[in-house]
Amino acid sequence: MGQIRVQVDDEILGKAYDSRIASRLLGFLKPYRSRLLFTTAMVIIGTIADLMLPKYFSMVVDEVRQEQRMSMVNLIGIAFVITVIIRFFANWGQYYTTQWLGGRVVFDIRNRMFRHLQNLSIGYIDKRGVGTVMTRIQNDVAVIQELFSETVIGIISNVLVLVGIIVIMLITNWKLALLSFLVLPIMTLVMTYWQKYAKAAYRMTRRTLSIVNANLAESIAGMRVVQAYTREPTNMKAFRKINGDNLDAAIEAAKYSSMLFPTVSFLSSASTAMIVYFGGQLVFNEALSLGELVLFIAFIDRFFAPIRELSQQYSTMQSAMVAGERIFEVLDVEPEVQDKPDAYELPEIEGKVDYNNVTFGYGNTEILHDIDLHVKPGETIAFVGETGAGKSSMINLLMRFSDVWSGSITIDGHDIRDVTQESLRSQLGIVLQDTFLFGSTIRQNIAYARSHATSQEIEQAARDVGVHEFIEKLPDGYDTEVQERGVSLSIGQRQLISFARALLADPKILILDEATSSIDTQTEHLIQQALKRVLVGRTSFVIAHRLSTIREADKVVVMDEGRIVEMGTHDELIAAKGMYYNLYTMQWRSQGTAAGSEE
Amino acid sequence: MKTLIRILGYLKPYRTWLITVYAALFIALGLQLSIPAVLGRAIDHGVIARDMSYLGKATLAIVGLATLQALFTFIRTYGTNVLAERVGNDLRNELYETFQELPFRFFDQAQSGQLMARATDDINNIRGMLMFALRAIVQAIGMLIIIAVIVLMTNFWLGVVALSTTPLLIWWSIHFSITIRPVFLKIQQQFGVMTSALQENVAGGRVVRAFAQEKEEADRFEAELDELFERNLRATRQWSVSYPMTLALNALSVAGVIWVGGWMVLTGRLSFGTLVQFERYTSMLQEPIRWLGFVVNRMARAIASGDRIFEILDTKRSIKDAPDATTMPDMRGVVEFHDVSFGYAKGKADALHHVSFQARPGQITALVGPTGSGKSSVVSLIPRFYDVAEGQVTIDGRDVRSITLSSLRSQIGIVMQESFLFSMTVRENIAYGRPGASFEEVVAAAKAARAHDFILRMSEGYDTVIGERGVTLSGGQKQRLAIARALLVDPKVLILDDATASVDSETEHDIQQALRTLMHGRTSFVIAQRLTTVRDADQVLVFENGEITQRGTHDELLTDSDGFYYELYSMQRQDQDDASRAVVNEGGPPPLEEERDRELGEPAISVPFTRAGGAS
Repeated sequence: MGQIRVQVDDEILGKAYDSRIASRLLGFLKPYRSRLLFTTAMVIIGTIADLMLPKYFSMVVDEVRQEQRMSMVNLIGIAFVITVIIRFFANWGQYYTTQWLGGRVVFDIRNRMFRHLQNLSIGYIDKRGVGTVMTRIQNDVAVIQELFSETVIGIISNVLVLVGIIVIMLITNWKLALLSFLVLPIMTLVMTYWQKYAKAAYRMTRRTLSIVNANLAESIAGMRVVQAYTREPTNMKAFRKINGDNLDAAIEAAKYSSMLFPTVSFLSSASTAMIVYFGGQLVFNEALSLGELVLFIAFIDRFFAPIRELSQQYSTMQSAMVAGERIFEVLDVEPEVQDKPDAYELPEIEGKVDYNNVTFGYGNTEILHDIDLHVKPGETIAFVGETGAGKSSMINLLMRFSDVWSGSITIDGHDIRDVTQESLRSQLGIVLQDTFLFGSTIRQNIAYARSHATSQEIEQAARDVGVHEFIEKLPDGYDTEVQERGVSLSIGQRQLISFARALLADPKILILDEATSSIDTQTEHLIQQALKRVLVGRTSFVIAHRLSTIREADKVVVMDEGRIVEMGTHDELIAAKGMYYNLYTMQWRSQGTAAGSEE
Repeated sequence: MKTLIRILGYLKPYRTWLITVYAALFIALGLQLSIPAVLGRAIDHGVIARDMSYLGKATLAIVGLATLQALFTFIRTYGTNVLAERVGNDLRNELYETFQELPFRFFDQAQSGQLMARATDDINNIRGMLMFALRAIVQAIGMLIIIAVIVLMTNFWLGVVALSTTPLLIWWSIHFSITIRPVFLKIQQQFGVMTSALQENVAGGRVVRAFAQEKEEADRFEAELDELFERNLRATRQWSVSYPMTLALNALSVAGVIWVGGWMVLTGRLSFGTLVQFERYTSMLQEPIRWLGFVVNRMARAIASGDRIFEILDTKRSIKDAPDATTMPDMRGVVEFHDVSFGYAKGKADALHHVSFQARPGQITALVGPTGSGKSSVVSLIPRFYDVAEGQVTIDGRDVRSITLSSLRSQIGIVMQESFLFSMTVRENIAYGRPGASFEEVVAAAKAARAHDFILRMSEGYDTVIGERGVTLSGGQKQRLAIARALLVDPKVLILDDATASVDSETEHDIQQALRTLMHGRTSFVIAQRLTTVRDADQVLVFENGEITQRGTHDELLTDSDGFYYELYSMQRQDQDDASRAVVNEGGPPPLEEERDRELGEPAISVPFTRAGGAS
């Protein structure tokens, strides 16, 4: 029985403190040093105020029991109220500033990562995958946000509280204090054991849940196939099973999560009882005042929250270190293609392109071998060859998505490595095979490279490629949103829009990766017409799949295994009866027999 | 309210658990609240009265009460967790089963991300409510009432002092949680905006770089980040004052108790023990009141989630077996459309108008026409993915609506333009429609679909897991697996919806061969853009604007030089003529080169995550 296969990513938990990563992370706080100082001051004031309150209570008790001066009680009462007000302002300042810091740091990190990403080559995204790159910028950074807006300050505050309680208890009565501290190791032991078992149970829950979710997601995406093959009963049974696994795991985890709170509250009550018993005897012997006993009872209760929080903060630190490492991994990637320090703006070009003995590859594999190709302004070049012959690499190099290993590419005599990438690419236009449209309006998509284009210019571009009538017919015309389920545009329509986009950018050099998908004959016709119009007066490189395109080209460049094996016009190459002739006749053959063939 | 009741209705099967949980809750609460009273007595009668044995007994009593409290608290927490998990689990099952039964029309309109959110986030919200809010509200109100009664009865005026800030606290925390909600929603919204900006930039990375828009993109993203920061800050402004405020209000009550209580003890109106007891109770009040704020939020969220879930559960299963539906015995394969009109939106018949035709067993019917002319609609009506608005679709003379869906669809095979394969092994994918098929049958289907060779070349052959987490297949390979999948169910009626559209020309030849095998002996419907296939068809139906405008064989249709078909043919002929001329001149095609579909090589220029246009 088929079940969806899922690979579950377990979180890797390592050190809670890695000085290298921690110091780099803290570096993000540097610009906000004064705010950091302020919030730390607030934490100290707030904590002291907080510890003062039980002390006031104990002072009242002793005053009433021993000196019995109402004026003192009034004084303490006033002090209590003032302390409450101070604590209020300190807490307020602390919360606001830490949240501000967390939000600001996250803003800075995301911004830096995003800008950095823009400078990385497209190969970086290809290799990592869209999902992974997004996770880095979203989730990993969110962990850092928690670190800065809660954890760092939280640790300081909890340590302060613990130390404060311990010191006050020791000063008040060191014997009873030491007795109270007995609960600390027990508490720590409980927490450690609990974490060990609970973590395993939680991991199991998450694991089973991600299987459930993966199944759901695929069922939804493939529902048409599910129903077409009447798999509903089988799928329901399978889903009940994996969903049940998740239930079992969740209930197992519930055991642990339900255990912690009662255990802690029991420990707290039991130690209160112990303090009452032994402290009470000390009061008998006048070794301890009643107020001091009350103080101990109040403090023993406050022991537990900081310990519990610190153990959570420990986990956060662990994940923050992992997240930090991943973030720096992105930030530390050197852009493969970089502007030279003395790069200059490419002046307006005519469109003469030369590949001079270019060698290139990925990793250790050489893909292009010693390519020499010289193109005059305004010429149309059609690249022909099988998948893997090196056609796309030729184009990637011209766009400078990657740099050549050896040799050079020049445009109007300028080595493309000597000019700024922006000035280079802004003079190149590209139409990709799978047309990517952004989730905005059609108008914005056409004007992508020239956001200030006027409506007339945009419509003219659409008219020139013959897609204007179609756009006009859409419910909101040029303002129609293009989205997942907004408007379904056919492949052909998307292509026409991307033609308009390229045309509006008005590049001197145009690069076109023709689509292989079949398009209905009318749209196909429109595309051919549009293509002719777009190519006029520009140096053009086309990865060609359509015969008509190839026939119109000034030069057909036949590639095989990273070399140019033949070059010439269509007629010349046919006459030569070489590789092109073979390719060509094969296409013809499959067309003669095929349903839905291209050429 | 209705939604809330309906959510609570899911607790019904677990009535015993529910009763146990709430019984445990009240017992634990009683025990918890009795501890300060014992503590107060221990101080008065033990410590101050110097009664050693009383002190010992009181201490033991506290330990005993604490033990019982821990036990009952565990039962209550565990019980609520179990209840929440079970209800969440039940809802998820129900939702999944509903998805399976919802019609295509539903999935046409729904966004898959949204549907996923129903099953994840929304169920989580309901779980959260059952786990926390439902318990907390009962506990908080119970605690408030019991403490109020105890303190007022013990010492009325000091009780009034202890409770003095409570109404304000309750109002504050509920008010805050209501006002903060829209602010949080706005943060979430902006987070979504930021996410999609990021997603597009990453997925459309090639376009961004090609048009040199890196700087503009970065500025745009920074603006979104800035907005997110601002919205976060707005929430922080409210939030950072709210929590300290509840702390402070409660502390003021404590101050009042100590002050007034101190005076009362001083003047002999109150014992020390009672003062300690009061201080404890007053401090205890703060927690449940703070919960009330959360509870309001959680409830509101759970109800909104419940509405969204029930909306799906209540969606009509418009395509389902008629009460008197019967199973279809082995089909012969006569497919007929009788005056069929149809539209994708309910009540609109704008996709097909009065379409009638007949396909006989073993015949190939080709459907031709521009995008949106109704070809795909016709083929989706045969397996009853949609119901007709008017007219009738029959197979072997029986209306498809009178046949059970499973017996109908299991005898129809479909290969679509974009094949969807599941993240399973190759073998499981091929056997998708017949999970019980033997390995030999799977291999035979793969061989007939020309897929066997490339499957064997994969690392684990038929056991290779494909999809996102496994091996990535090329368009042509996917298509061949889809053909094998269709072959294995051995359908009597076959639908090929532009099956070679997304395949590159190199592998197309193989797929053509596979399709030919597949079509043999079956009633087949073929949608194709290229007219070359159409030549072999027994009948060609030309669609324009939802109507059949021409019908006949290829040769018959060509005689009408004003017709659409002729025009289409002429448009395509030019290329062909060129091609044939070139070859004819040279005297026939050269031998075919083998090994053409190498899937090796450079990364092609292509953008991931691009959706091909919608239904054609």
